[in-house]
Amino acid sequence: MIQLHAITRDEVRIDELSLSEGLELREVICGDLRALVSERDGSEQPTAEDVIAHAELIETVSRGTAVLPVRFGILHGDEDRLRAALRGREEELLALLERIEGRVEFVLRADDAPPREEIPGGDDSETPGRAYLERRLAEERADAADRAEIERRLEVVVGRTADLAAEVTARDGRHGPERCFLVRRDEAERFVESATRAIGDVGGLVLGGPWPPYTFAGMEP
Amino acid sequence: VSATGGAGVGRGSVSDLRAELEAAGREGRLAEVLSDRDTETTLVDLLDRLLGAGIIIQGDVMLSVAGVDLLYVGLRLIVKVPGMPGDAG
Repeated sequence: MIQLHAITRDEVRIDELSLSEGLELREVICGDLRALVSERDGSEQPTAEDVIAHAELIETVSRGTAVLPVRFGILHGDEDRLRAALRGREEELLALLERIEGRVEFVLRADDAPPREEIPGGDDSETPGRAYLERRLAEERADAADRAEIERRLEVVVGRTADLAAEVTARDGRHGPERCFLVRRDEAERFVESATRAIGDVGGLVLGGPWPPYTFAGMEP
Repeated sequence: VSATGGAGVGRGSVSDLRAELEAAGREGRLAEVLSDRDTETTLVDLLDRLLGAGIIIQGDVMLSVAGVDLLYVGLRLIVKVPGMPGDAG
């Protein structure tokens, strides 16, 4: 089988790339698109090495040309089956490539918050069921309040960096609500400065990047 | 450009992170860099992007990544560069 790593429009000089050991990359051409693939045994469980190799490949190629990062782990039976999957989406993928060309992604999310102190419940000696439900309700209210506060802080930073971001989108990551920013590569330094100042004012947030535009590659153009 | 350097700011490059860890290993600062919150931020965000974002093209097989937390631990080990002085493996 072949694993799909990335899609691009321009020729990639694969022989000049510095790739992870053991990753034999090749190109599958489909119309105006070029898919970057490697051989893969579909029955093997992916390892952390595989994940890193995929990430480094995308990172390396994206330094030289516009690249759509593919979600990790998509395999096709052979080149013909991959071409069949790409056929019919060519226009959409070319539009996505145009959207992300010369741009990088930053992600803003909540810092890891310290664990909340236990929320006191009522006396549960006589009505343990009721006390449990009250405690659950109080926890849910506290979670909602925390989330609302994070959203408020995220929006402050979004507002203060609006002139430097081509696009902003909201998503939920493993650490709760996020804002992803698509930023021109030549504006990235100014974006980091501006965002860092805003984060310093509101507190409790972390900024990551610049990443290849993973999030924006997966959205409707 | 990199978002490295300030409190609460992660890097956006696996290669840069690997290079930094190699340098830290040579200088005996590996434990310090590995416990750095910026390093944590980088790895968490990387995993989130790789497994939860990126374009999806209909395939014949989608590799399932079981145990994301285990994979996260695996990434930490990988970027430590095996064989480096101070590498606890």
